[in-house]
Amino acid sequence: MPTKTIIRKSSMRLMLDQNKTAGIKRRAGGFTLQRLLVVLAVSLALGLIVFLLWKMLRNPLETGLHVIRLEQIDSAAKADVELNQQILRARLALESGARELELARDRFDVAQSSLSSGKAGLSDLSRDINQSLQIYRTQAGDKLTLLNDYSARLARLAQYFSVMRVAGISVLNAPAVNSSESLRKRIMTLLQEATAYSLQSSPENAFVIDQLAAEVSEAAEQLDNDAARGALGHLLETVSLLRSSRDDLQKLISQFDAIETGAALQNLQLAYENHFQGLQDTARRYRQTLAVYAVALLLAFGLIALRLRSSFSALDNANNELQDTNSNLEQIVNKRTQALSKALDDLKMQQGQLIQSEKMASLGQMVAGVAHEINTPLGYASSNVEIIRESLQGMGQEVDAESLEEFDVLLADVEYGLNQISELVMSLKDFSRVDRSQSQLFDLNAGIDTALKICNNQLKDGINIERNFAELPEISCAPSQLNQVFLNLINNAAQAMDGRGLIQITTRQVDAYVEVAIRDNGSGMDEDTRAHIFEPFFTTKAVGKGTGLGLSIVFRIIEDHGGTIQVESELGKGTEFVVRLPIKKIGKAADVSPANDVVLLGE
Amino acid sequence: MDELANVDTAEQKPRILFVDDEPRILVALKALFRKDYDVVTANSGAAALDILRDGDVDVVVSDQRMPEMTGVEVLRSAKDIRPRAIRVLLTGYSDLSAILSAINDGEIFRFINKPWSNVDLRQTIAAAVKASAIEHVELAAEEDINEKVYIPGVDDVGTLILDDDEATRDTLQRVLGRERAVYSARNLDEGLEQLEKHKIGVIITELTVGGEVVTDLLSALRQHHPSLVAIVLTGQSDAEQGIDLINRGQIYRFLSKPISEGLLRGSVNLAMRRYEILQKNPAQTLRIAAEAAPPPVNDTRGVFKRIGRLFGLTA
Repeated sequence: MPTKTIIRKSSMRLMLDQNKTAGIKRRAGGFTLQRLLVVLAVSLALGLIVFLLWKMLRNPLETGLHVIRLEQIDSAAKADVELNQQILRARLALESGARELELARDRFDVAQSSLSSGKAGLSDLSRDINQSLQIYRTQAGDKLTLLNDYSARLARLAQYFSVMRVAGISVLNAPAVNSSESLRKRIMTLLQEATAYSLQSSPENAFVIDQLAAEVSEAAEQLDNDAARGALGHLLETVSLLRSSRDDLQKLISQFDAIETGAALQNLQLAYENHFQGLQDTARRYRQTLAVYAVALLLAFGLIALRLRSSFSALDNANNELQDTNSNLEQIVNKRTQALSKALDDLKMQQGQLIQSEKMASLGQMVAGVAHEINTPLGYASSNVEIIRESLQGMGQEVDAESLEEFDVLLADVEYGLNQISELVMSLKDFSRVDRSQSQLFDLNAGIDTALKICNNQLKDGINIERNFAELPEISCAPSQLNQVFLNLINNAAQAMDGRGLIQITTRQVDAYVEVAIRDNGSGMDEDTRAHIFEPFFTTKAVGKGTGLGLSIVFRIIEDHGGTIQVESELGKGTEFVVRLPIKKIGKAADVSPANDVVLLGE
Repeated sequence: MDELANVDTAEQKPRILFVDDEPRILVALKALFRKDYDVVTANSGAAALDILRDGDVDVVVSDQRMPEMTGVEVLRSAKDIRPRAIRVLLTGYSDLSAILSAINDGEIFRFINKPWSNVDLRQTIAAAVKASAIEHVELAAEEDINEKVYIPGVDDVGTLILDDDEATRDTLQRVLGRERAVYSARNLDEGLEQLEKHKIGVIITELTVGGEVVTDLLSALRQHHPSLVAIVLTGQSDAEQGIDLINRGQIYRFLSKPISEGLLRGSVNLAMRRYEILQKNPAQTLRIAAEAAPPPVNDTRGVFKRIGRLFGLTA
């Protein structure tokens, strides 16, 4: 039955395995798709974060450029302002020339060209900027062109001015003029006005100049000196040229005012700042997106981690359960194995006991037959010998004394022999204990004597027995079993000695126990052997020489009697077994029939 | 005594029948006893019965293991044919069942083991011859032994139960207590107490009580209170002790536990009858004289002195 069950179980397990593998295969397709999706999702997330990071990292570079650009715009603005100042100032510095203006113009030129070129240039940043830049550049170009014109006219003004001064001085030095105080005065005033005009033109000046010029030309008309008149005319002409030149200049300045490079620059800056603002906004947006994304990613990772953790813990649990089950299984298997091996041992033990009891039973049967068959001839033989010995005593007259004595001795020997036989049969009977009660009062000393008689042939050659018997109370026991115990122990002692030696058997009473010590001076045994001697089927004898049951049966019998057996042994020196039995039986071998079976009621 | 004297004066030796399938045994026994007794031998059960039917015999000594008819069968038949003849079993070996039936059915006088000692055997045969001199008083077989017949002054005799086991005591008391007084004791001391207190005719005892074998007690009771009838009811089966109980205690029945109620009651009734007979015919006790045992060495508690005193006083 158990075999069948096992087969059924294993086949079921096989089916289960098959089911499991089929399920795995079915799931395999979905599994790869899922895996692909996961890979895609992960690479997407990573790509996004890389993109955002790239965007973020690019931003600081822009900021650097931004500063430079702002500086450039600023410097352009400054250059513009300075140029404007120089333009105004150049008017006043007719003598010193326009060197400052040149410098300012160069700076302006550099600033405006650097705005649109180079790494930090503003061109191609955005359409608005481009437009503004374009406007600015056009205006700057206009301004530069105008500036050239302005410079040229300024130079001419300066020329006229110096010419006027020279002419004035020459006029003033002319005797004709020199003589006329009023003229001279007028000319001086004219020169002063003209100078003032050329420096700072105003309508009053122009009017005064016109008036003075008219007066001077009128006065000149009156002059008789041609030379003086010519010189005066030249002066007036020069003044008039100066004035017109100055007016032209004034017009140019007003044209300068019309060219609003500053505003254009401001527009440009505004456009750029707008652009930058836009950039910054974008960057902020990216940053925010990145932050949100990072948070989302973190959350996702957290979720995944959580799920991983939970699945790991589930896995752990499953693993633990598996391990538990495994160990449980192992334990169960161990337990089963132990139980089985114990059962096997028990079975072997029982088999051994059965064999032993069968042996004892058949020995009993045999002894019963043998005893009867031997006792019958013994009966008449010994009786007859006795009769003859008695009869011999009455034959003194017929037989000579020597023969009579001899007959007596011979008959005594016959009697002795017959006695020996009789004792052996008795011992056999005692030992087999056929039809003897299993529990009775028993003298251990007598039991040992019986055992010694039984194994006498083993002890014959060279083995001495020393009996140190104390007076023992009879103990309640199964005598046949105890006889077996002593026989076994004495046999073992004899076999340990190789034919020569001494067996000491000591009995004594210790409290509520009797002790029997059987000591030999034989070969002894090592610790390993000593540890196993009471195990069933442990034997040191050759195969077929011993069942290995002897001492285990001894152990069981003594245990059944509530006693103990101890062994001490030294290799080469000998062994001592000490059997200790309670005087009042406390074991379980009581064989008194149960009380309620005493009387079978009814007929 | 007169009878015995008559036999002696008539030069008629007591007649002893030896039965054994081994002729050499018969030869030896004849050689041993021919001087003192009229020895008759038979080498089979059938031959023995023929002899018994042909003439009176005082003692029958039979081997147990014989072909065709066992010793116990021979003795049981002898009991029917010659009730007066004393029966002895002389055997090399007998199993427990043989011993039990020899006691219960053969009501034998002695067990003798082969090989025997001539001296002992002579003594035993002499004792048997002496016992056989008393005519056997038959139990009134016609009476229904299971039916209680109350005889005042006789039937107030009680039964003593001696057993360690309480349940056993209770059961026996319940079964037997319906007919007559039953006392119980759980050890020898209590038993003696009960014997002192009450008039007891039958004692039912276990083999060992309170850790002590009852053989010595029964032996002592046989010496001092010969009319007391003993039944051993035991769970132990011990052939040697059975032999001992017959030789030294002359027990009436040896019963094994468990026992049927009918057998128990019948046995007790028979025992009670026997007690009555022994009381009425004290000479009959000689027929069941046991071996005179020496007082036990280990009579530590003075049990046997006590018995001696008890029955010395009462007898």
